[in-house]
Amino acid sequence: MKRFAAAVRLRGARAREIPGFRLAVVCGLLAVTAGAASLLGALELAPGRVLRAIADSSDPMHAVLWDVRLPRVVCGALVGAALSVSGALLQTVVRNPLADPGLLGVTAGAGLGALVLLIFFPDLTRWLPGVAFIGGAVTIVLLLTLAWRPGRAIGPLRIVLSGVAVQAMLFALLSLLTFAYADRAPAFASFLVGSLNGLGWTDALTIAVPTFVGLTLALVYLRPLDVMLLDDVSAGGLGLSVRSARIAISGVAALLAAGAVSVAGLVGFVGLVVPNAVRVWAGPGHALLLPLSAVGGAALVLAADAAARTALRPLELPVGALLALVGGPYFLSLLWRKVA
Amino acid sequence: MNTAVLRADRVCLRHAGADRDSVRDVSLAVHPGEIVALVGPNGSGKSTLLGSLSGEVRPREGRVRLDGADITRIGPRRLALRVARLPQEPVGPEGLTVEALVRQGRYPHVGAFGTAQRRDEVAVREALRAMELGDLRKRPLETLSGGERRRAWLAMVLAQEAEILLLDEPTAALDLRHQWELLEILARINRERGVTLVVSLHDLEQAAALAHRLCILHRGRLYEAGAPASCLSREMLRDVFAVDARVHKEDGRLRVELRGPADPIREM
Repeated sequence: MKRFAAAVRLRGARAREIPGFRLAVVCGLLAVTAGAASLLGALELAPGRVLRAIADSSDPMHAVLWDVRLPRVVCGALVGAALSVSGALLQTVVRNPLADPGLLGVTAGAGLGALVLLIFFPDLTRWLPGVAFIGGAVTIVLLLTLAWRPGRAIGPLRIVLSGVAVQAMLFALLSLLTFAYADRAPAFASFLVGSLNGLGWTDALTIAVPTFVGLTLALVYLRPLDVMLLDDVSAGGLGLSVRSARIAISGVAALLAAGAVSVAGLVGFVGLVVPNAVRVWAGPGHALLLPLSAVGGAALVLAADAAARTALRPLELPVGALLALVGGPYFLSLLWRKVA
Repeated sequence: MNTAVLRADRVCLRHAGADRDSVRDVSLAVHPGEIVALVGPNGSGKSTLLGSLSGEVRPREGRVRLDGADITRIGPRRLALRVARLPQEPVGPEGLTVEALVRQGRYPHVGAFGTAQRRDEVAVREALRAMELGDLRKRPLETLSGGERRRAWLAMVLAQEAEILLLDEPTAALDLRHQWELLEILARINRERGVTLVVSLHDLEQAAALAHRLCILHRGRLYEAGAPASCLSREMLRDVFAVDARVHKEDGRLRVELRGPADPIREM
């Protein structure tokens, strides 16, 4: 038995040496969850039926799949990828595994921007992602200024506490706005926890643009990202302008988070759970970390959403609540490990 | 061929928020192929001076020049091609392998958006071999011993292939044997690759054995600079380090024999 286990480990180790093996595994996971997400819902459909209905426009389920389930799957995948990569970038920027767009208040900042636009300038909703981006970026700047001490990495406690403080202020503003303008604010409860309910192709397009721009920029920035993992003096000694790199990468992280917030509200914990899990498996290098986080984040959100839609059928739960249920304990375990 | 001359001209250095200069009016020229050791008590300004030589600390007054050009005007990547710097306690992320770390040393050559060439791979392989890390190259840094980890970081700056290497207390926190090995390695890098070294050290005997020239700092000022045999004196040890010690030569090496604290009246 022992020898068998050792042999499995050895083969596992060898398989992991093959480039692309990890990516293939995670992509497989994504395919399965995407499939499951399109099958499951308020109406139950058999796999064969789904394929037929997608192809056949005379099928009564054709419209349900094309107008409800598929855009929702696409949105979910993009939200997951964007938040997960945003988290990975923020973790590198502050050199701390506890960073996450939700925990640091970046999504709340983006949400505040979005809400202000929706309430006061309802005609300008196509600028939603742009305004959300500004809100998220301002929050990052605020946070880094609060937590920064020159020449030192930001300790785990410091970053978490600064995030809590910033987030409390942002949530206060968010609540004040929705109370004062209850008639104009969108479904606030589901916005606060994060939900994919009722998303269509317009929403998919809204998030697709910032997500693809953000992911491309992040992948272009691979090498500086890797250098940023070293302490400031070493990174500077290698010729990286640490300050400008930090600003640029924070901007990309804000853009990704803003895209996700614009369609799905304040979905939390994806950016914390996925990159940290990937790092255990694939190491800290961004060449693997970013693609794996993107695909893994998409898979996680789709799986959570599939569960959210089926757990209390026909009631559709907000996906953010389910993610927080998983993410909270994971966050605690990380905090214990890193602070102790 | 290494021809780089690094020169600090009457630099005054101050940390952000401090109300006093931590280095005052220090001039120092580092010539191609030499080993300069910065020595002095804690807080005498060794690290700050090293920081200014790598362009990290901007002088409040004075200038640092590389071949006559003000280094604050050289782009960071171009400067990194010629001057490499290793802090006293470099920090890498959990799970980073030795090889991945050493590859970072090629950043100034490859750039943010370039692709690694064959010569980059060769430089990485050579640095790993020079530091005898071949067998450890797949190991994460945190699983290495202190001495191995120090060698891994040194391999990173070696792969950078800069002419000048600035090292901040490379022997700190190593046991005696690893200290000795590291000094051997530094001497070999200098001898075989012709790399100029500026090293801050605490141990005076080690500094005297390794360096061609000592640069003695005392409360942020340059006390004396010159050959170890002429700098290392009873007077210097009393003035700078506040100890009563005898210096003598044994088997061709300078020895410092500590006798106790310096005369308290003299210290006042």
